[in-house]
Amino acid sequence: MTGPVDIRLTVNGQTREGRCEPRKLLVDFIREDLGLTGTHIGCEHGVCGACTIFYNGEAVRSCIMFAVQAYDAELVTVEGLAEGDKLHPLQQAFHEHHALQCGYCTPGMLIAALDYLKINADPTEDEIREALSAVLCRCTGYVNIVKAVKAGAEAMRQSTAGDK
Amino acid sequence: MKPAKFDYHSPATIDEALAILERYQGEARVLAGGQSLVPMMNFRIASPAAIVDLNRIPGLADIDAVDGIVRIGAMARQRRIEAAPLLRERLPLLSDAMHWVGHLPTRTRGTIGGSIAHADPSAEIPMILQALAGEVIVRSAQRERRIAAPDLFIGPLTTALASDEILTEVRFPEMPTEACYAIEEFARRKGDFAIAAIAVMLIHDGERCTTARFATGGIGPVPVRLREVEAVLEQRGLGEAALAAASDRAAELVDPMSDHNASADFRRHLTAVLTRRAVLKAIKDRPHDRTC
Amino acid sequence: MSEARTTLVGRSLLRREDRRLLTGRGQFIADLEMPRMLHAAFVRSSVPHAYIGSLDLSQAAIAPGVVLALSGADLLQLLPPVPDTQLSLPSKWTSLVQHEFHNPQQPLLAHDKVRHVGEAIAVIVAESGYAAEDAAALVTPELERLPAVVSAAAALQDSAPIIHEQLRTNLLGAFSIAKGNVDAAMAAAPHRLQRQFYHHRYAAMPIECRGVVGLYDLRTDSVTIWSATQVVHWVRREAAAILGLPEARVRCVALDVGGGFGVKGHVYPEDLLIPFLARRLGRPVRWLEDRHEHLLCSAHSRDQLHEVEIGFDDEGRILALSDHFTVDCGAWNPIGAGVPYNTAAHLTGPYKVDHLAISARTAATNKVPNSAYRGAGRPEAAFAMERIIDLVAASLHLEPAEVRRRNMIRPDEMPYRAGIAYRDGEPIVYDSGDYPAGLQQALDAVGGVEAFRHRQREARQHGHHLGLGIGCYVEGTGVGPFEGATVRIDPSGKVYVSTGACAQGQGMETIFAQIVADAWHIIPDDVVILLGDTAGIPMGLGTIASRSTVTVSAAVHHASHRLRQKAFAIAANLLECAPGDLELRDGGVGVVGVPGAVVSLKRLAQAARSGVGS
Repeated sequence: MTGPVDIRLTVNGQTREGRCEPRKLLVDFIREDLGLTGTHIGCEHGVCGACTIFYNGEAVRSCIMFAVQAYDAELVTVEGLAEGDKLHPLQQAFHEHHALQCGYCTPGMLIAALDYLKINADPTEDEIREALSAVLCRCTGYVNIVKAVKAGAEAMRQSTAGDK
Repeated sequence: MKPAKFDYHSPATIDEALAILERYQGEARVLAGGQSLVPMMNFRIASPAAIVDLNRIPGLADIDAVDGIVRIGAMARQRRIEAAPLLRERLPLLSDAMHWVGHLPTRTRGTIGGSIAHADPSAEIPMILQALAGEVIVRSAQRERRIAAPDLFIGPLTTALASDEILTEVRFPEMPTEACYAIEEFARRKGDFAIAAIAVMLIHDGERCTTARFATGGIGPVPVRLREVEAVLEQRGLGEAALAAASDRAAELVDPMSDHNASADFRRHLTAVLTRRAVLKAIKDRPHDRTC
Repeated sequence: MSEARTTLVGRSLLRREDRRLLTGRGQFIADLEMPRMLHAAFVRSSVPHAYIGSLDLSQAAIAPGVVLALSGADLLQLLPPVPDTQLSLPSKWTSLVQHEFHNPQQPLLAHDKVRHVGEAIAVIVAESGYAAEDAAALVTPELERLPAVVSAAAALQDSAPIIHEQLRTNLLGAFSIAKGNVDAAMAAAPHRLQRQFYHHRYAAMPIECRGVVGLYDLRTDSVTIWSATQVVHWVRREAAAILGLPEARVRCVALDVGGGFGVKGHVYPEDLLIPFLARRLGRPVRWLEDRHEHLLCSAHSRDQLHEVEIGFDDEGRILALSDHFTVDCGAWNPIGAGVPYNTAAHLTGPYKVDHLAISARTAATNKVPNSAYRGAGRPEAAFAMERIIDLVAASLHLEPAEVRRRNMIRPDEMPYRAGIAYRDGEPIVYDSGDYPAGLQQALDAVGGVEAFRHRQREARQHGHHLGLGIGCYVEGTGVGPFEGATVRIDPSGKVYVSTGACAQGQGMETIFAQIVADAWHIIPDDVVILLGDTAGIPMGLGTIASRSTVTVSAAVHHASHRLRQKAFAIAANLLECAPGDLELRDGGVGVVGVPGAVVSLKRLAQAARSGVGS
């Protein structure tokens, strides 16, 4: 089938539906069909990490998946991290540690960091650096992002809100 | 950079997948993790008429060990391989290798079968397949066959798989419990494609080496097992002189590529350096005898 | 009397931009959605130098979803070509500096020749980006290949293929400046050194690529352009000229921009072609550059070869310095003299050089055009100067830090007249600075240079090489010619500031709120900043060259001064006192020494309105 396919999936806890060509990239589906423009496109070949989202609880690069592959999947994008007006502890840590400048890589950076923190909730600075090498940032030089992840991890460990 | 149109198929069984592949007579591509294929499609370097998505087929991602053979389904995700306790115990060189493969988000989707079938010269998993003398199970609509590592990798991005074949399983002999092992890799960033990599497994008693397995990645057009280097270590041991001889021999034997990342000369130099480092690292991690 | 207010400038405030950027609610150019929006894709040359033969767009024009397929030749019929113009250079500079410049104008779509890989030769507009790209792939241009020129040296040889044939040369520009008598001083110098330094070509690579959306409004016959740009007023000016509209009918807006670094700091053909297409088609048109295109055709920078000669004495003191450098500026020269003249003006940096000769040649080649990238010519100068000083030190077996110190302008020599003109034609004067102390501070930070040399010698004995790199420079920043700000007190009591600065991550909404809050003794939350919108302020320059905080804060200061006089006049009337008795305090204007006698900014703004009661 080259023709349009139906997509049904859960995004940030909500059931969503759409219809698109099988070749439509997941990142484009999220941005255009679902109207969630927080996930960004930086390279379209899976190198920069700006498009990183959660797919069934694990981080993936949405620019190198097709939307049709997300049928029945549970996605979480950057828009799903805060609870209403309350920032996620990692978002709060980014804010307090000046871990963003232009903000373009930030959604991917948040998701990639959160994904790593699921595997290692108390990482060393070296481990954080290695994990963050999955996302390219041209503005900050990473120093403050590393600090923010360290602080955010600490806040998350202390929080009872549960991790996303 | 958007991909060209294609027919999309998401079969529920491997037989269905093979039938579709056969029907398209080489114009269809199999979609496993997509971490290599989809970028190529976005660049329109690859514009297959059809995609056969393997991700809905159950039973292709099992991991088990039977009679000393570790079997890993082709669709097993690299992320799962990295974490699997059975592999950490029986095939730790493969578990360790996963740290070097891409980044955590690419390992979420990337598969062991996909990496092997794609056969990028700088990929780590094919190198481990060579180092540990693994083999793959490959199926077409007509038959199933086994291809041993040395016969699998033909050239850059080229394997012995036919266009109507799907790699379904990867097998490795279990690593002996007393084996020690290491990977050394040189890349621009951790997780980038290897400019040069060495994987080694050793069984030794002090400086005496009874078994050596040695393979390269990223250096030449295909990953290579260097039996002559293994022989140096097995015959001459693990002392300084033997290490130097092994490193030199490795550097002589490789057929290094020249590209924008590194010249052939530099890759040859890296071969010698990384050989020494890999052997030393393997010994250090397991100094004398694993039994304690 | 209120407590003394803590000034905000000098404190680290959390950024107001963060909330939207952290929660995925930023608005970048790719996020802008409009009803009935069309999508443009370009057909780009895959060869570096060729005559354009036929361009068959017939397959593309009938491809699914395609609304328009236009070649460079088609566009020529629809839009009069912009003639090659004189490069606009400050008249004072032109009278002082010997120069020659050609300014070939890049067409919006190449029609006669392609001059670099990636140059656009056709545009397809379709209902989706996917469809536009499909159609673009159906176009096979007939290109008659010409020999490519890929180095400045090759470009300047007599036999070189000429890239802009009407110029009969690949030398797009040249200038020279001099001070003292370099020939005599060089000849008399006890020591001389010559060396070549090459600064490679550079690409900015922001994580967000470029993008333009154009919208035409029939009712007002006006065009709005949204662009991921650092220079909205410049885009507006060029677009108005090319579209034949008064500037008042063209608006250019920069939304959130995902990094610029200079590569988004000039006007690209797409900035002008997209609004043209929007007007022609009567529907919004969007073009989003993809990474492949960005690598192919967004501007590069640097690529300078320096031939330096230095004459010096036994103490390492510079007696004469000459630098003849060549810039490979690629196929077009959008920035003109800006970057190479930066290089010349910054070459001597913190050092005293009495006899100096600098010349520059800008050569066209079949590469992507150069523009500014972080430093915009200054790093190239610093590289050449710092390298030659190290070589001087090495040749005399002297400590490189000491040679620098000996040549530095001393604090008691300030203000120091450098003896050459700056890019505006004004003489360069360093007004202050203690360069030797700065150098010492840097060396102290690594434990002092003697201690380091000791460690270095020890390490060498064990086969370890430790290196110490020293780079000293003076940066002319906060460049002119101007920036503007309007400051307005709204009847809500908030202070509204608009300026031509264009943010790409610098945190300007926070910085300028901080500055304005201090100027008016209010809190940052009561300051509203409008950036990057030509509708907000009629004239502006944009954000390049580390200029915005310096120039905008000055503009805010001056505008606030004038507005304060108005505010005090109104307050004096309301409070029945003299303006001289008043001060800013507590978000209002109050009588000095009388705590209760204060009127809020809100009340003042309302009182200032005529007619309707407050």
